[in-house]
This record gives sequence, C-alpha cells and structure tokens, in this order.
Amino acid sequence: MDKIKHFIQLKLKNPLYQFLLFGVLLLLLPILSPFMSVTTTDALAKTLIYFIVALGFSLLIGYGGLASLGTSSFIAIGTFVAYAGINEFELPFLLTILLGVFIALIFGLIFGIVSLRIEGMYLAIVTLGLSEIMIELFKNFDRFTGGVSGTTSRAIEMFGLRLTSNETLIIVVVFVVLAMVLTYNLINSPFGRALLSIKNNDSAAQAMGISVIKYRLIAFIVSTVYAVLGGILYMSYVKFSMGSTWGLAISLNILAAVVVGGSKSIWGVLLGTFMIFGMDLILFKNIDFLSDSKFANLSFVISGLLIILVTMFYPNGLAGLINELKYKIKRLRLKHQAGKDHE
Amino acid sequence: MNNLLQQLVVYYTHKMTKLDKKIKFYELNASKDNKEVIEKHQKKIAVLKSKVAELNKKLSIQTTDRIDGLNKKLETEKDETVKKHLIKTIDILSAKTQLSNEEQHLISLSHLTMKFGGLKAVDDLSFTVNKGEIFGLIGPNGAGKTTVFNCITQFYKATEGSVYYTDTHGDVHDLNDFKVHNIIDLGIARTFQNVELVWELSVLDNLLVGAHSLYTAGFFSQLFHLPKLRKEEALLKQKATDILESLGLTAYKHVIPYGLPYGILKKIELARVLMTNPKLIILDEPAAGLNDSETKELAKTILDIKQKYALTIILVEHDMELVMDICDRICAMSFGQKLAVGTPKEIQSNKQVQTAYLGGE
Repeated sequence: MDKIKHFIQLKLKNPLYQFLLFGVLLLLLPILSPFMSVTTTDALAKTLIYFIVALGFSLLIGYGGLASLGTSSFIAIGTFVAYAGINEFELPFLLTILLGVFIALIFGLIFGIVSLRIEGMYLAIVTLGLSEIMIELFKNFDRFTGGVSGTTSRAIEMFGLRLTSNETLIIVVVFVVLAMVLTYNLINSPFGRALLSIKNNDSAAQAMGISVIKYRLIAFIVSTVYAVLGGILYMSYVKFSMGSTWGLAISLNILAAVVVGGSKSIWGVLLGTFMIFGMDLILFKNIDFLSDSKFANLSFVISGLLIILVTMFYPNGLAGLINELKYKIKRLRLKHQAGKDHE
Repeated sequence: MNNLLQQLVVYYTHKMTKLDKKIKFYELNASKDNKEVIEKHQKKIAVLKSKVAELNKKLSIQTTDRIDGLNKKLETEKDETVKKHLIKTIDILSAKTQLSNEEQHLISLSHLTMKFGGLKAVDDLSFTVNKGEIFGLIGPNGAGKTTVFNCITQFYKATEGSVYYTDTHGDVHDLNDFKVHNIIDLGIARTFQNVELVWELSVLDNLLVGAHSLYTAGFFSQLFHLPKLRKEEALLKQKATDILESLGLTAYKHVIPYGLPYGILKKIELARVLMTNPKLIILDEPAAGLNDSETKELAKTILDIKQKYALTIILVEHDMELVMDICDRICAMSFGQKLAVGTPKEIQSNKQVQTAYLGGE
C-alpha cells in the first residue's frame, strides 16, 4: 500500500500527470451537471474555454513579453469558422478544427507580420486597431457571421451522433488537457527558452543564434491557434456568437486573467481565468448571502482590486504569491525542526 | 556586392551548417541506422561544397573584373579623395581572393569603417587573426573596441569595409552578408561587456539557450516532445553539465543567476559561449569588475579552454597585465584608428601607444 502511495506521489510530481489528473477530475463535471444549476455549468464551461485562450496568451505575454489586444477577434474568428464548418459546409467536427487551425495560421501570420516589428505599448495599440477592423468586418460581411444580429449554430456532430451540451463539455475538457500539455511542452523546449531570452535580453538572444522576429511570429501564431480553437469550442458549446460582443473588453479580461494568475505558470493562468471569468457566476451566485442584487457587481470590484494589488506587489501573479507562501511555510517548518533538534 | 550569387553562397553555407549539426547529433548517439543517415548527409554536404566552390569561382571572376574596371578608373581619375576611395575598394575586393589561399587565416578586418552620424567610431581598421591565436584589442575608453566587436558579430552593419572569415569548410565569407543570428552557425560566439544572461532561467537553462543553435529538432518535435528532442535535450544537458564542472560551477547548476557574484556571472557567460561549439570566441572585457585573484584565475581559464576546445580568441581588455600575459598578438587602437599591431613586447615599447595611454609629452 505504501509503495503504491509512494508511486502515485512520485508520478504526481510530473506536471503531465497533474494535467491528466486535472482532466479526469473535470470529466466529473458532465456527470455532476444535473445537480448543478445551468448557470454554474455554463460558467464553468466558459471558464475552461477561456482558459485555453489564456494559455495561448500567457505564452505570448509571459514568455514572449508581447502584449496583444487582438485576442478577442481571434476567438470571434474561431466562432465563425465553427459556424461555417458545422452549419454551412457540414464538415465533421475534427475537420472543422483543422480548418480553424489553418485559418488561425493565416490570420496569425498576417497580424504578426503587420504588428511584430514594434514592441510594448505600440504593439497593443496596433493589435487593438486590427481587432476593431475585424469587428467591423464581422458586422458587414454577414455570410458567416450573421452581421449585427449574430449567428446560432446547430449542435456538433461526432461519430454520427449529435452531441448534447454535456457531451460537448467532454470535448472541451479533452482540449483543455491537450492545451495544458502542449503549452507545458513548448515552455520546456528550446522554443520556450528562446522566447524567454528574447524577452529578457534580445541582443544576447541574437548572439546565441535566436532570430527575434521568427520566434515572436511563431509565438503569435501559436497564441492565435489557441484563441481560434477556443472560439470553435465556444461556438460548439454556447451555440451563439455575435461579432460586436468580441470587443476590447474580452481581450482585456484575458490579459487581466493571465496577469493576475501569473503569466508564467499554467496553474496560475487557470486560477486567474477562474477569478476573472468564473468567480461571479460559479461562486457568488451559489452563496445565498452574496447572491443578493446588492452585490451584483462585487466580482468586478474584486477583480479590479486584484489586478491593482497583484501588478503592484506580485509581478509573478497569484502563482508567485502561492510559491512564496509555500517557501515560507517550508522554512518555518525547517526552523521548527531545527529548534526541536536543538532541545 | 550583394548580388544573387553571393546570396546563394550564404544560403548554401547555412544548409551546410545545418547538415553539420545533424551529423554531429547522429554521431553522438551512434547506432547502425545512423551510419546510413550520416553518409547521406555527408554526400549532401559534398554536393553543396562543390556548388559553393563553383559559385565562388564565378564570384572571384566577377571581382577580378570589377577590380580591373576600378583600376582603369583609377588611371584616369585625378581627384585625390576619389582616388583614395578607389584604392581602398580595390584593396577590400582583392583581400578576399588572397585570403582564400592562406591556410592559417581565420578572421580579418579589411578597411573597416563604422560611422554613427558624423562620428567615425572605427576608422579604416585592418588586422588579421590567425587560427589558434589569442588576439588582444586595446585602447583608451571610447577607442571603438566594442564597436569593432559589434561589427564582427553583425550587431552593426559596417558603413564600409569587410570582415572576412574562413569557415570550417575552408571557404572565405564576408560576414556582412550574414544576419546577426546566423553568425553563430559559422562558429563565432561572443560575450558582452555587461553580463547579459537570461535572468528568469536557471544557469543550466541559460547554457541550453547558448546551445540553441545546435538543436535540430523542429517545431513539432518540440510541441509533442518527440523522442528526438528528448535525446537532443539529454545530450546537450550532459554537455552543459560537463562544461559547468570543468569551470567549477556545478554548485550553481540549478540556481537563478540573478544576484550571484560578478566573477561567477562572467564565468557562466563564458560557459554559455563554450556551449555553442565555437571556433572563435570574442570576449568583451572578460576581467572587468574582477579582483586580482579572480583575474589571475580567469587568465588560466582562458588558456585552458583555448587548449581544450582548440579555439581562437579575440578579447578587449583594460587590464594590461592580463592582456600582456596571455595574448599572442595585440592591436592597439585610439579614436577608431589603428596605432600598432604586434606582440606584447612590441606594443609595450611602441611610442605611439605610450602617448595614447599616458598622454602626449
């Protein structure tokens, strides 16, 4: 028994197994959903979908040091690709995903080439402009976007079956785990290190043979792919998307989620996404005391405060804070131990 | 200069360095299947080599034509400044053909000039460094030493003049045709005046950043952590560990470098440079900020690594004792211009150098 326990403990040190375990736990959601309110399930699903987008964005800002404000328009592209794939072309779902990845590659490349020659605040402004252009395009070219009134999608089909929202949730969970694993892989490979070294010190990076523009572009494209995938999953779960809702607010929320959670930690990003997107609907609405209409906007106040506090005191986000606490507890324990030994 | 043939040569050279890297990887984890792969790659390299040789022949014919043309112009030209300029251009062009016959040559500057606006940071500087030398570059502050380094490593594109480099295949390249991040593929690695490490990564990971150009695994094997990447990662980690050990840095392997003593940071940067399989390393003030005993240790380390990895070293340094101790030859500069080139003794007894350092009498 002890051996098994030890074995499991050992395996759980490996982040990949942690992600798998997390996925397995999430798979309980569809089972538990009959016992939860529809709002809660919906909020959880949306949180998970935004988590995928935020993961891609954390690669961009945490590792590449690039702040883009175009994320929401990429999610929008994803939703409309999903609409077109599922309803207009009647493609199988996996083919829709592939189509989405392909379109994400193209848009990421175009946006990246236009905007990546500049850095910092100016990059944010340029991507913001580009995404505003995209929203206007969504409104006016209504073949796939439904124009101003938005589009409604059918449920997705897989293996000849029409999936219920609970079953779609399983697909979302699969993609969440996949996104976590792939992000972890990228971070811990030459690619992740190259991005970090560009962010820290681009002349040293260049001297070590790292092409700045190439790696920035790849990071941008990867984050675009994540966002478009998030969009496709959003459309398959929520089944409704309207061009004008994908504005600056969503992009800023994702930026906030990543910054609050800790842009260099996968679990931190999850925590941040939950704080920004899920806390209100999942937590507060289920607590009687807080569900009163007096506190309707409490979550905005809290997330606003969090953003201020975290950016001021914990540049590594909540993940950094938790790490620090862990370290302190460990030290206290060691001190305690040493004191005992001394006696 | 920047014509299609030239670009083709650069392109083929890149391809060759890539293949070289692949061969090195397969050689390191030797098995039977790999032999065939290695042979295949070697054949490819041979083909590329012959292509490059052919192109170089064509290019040299072009340059001789150009030199002839310029010579004709020179005869009819009367204006002195234009004449000077023409002579310089001819010299730069003809240097390449001369150098391709010299076996000992590794890198040379030919009439290198770098202007920032009206300021000439480097003015018509030429010198040659041979294989296996430790070459020192000295001069008062602001003499343009670091600018020379930046011109060699292509952080700056020289306004005029060329930097010629003989690669492992024996071809002579003008480094101005290469991009900054491709210089390392030719085997040129540098350190910086102020230590430039990645502060968010551990020392080991910093060394792996140094090994970035050695990875052959593509994006997808990185995305899915395919066996190829894992194998490469393991091999390079081993290499990094070895280098750290040989420099006595094992204790810092998993430490974030931020806040470590300056001497250690300098050593880590040296270790990172060694990770890149360099032929030539360029050290920008390696002893700056070190105390006497650390400097002495550094001198020993530099001599050691030079022996061990068969390196050529160019260094800028203010610590005269160190320079006179370890350098085979020295170039003294002042205000961007060359004062003298020679052995340490010759430089010490040179009148001009003395005035530059001690002020005029």
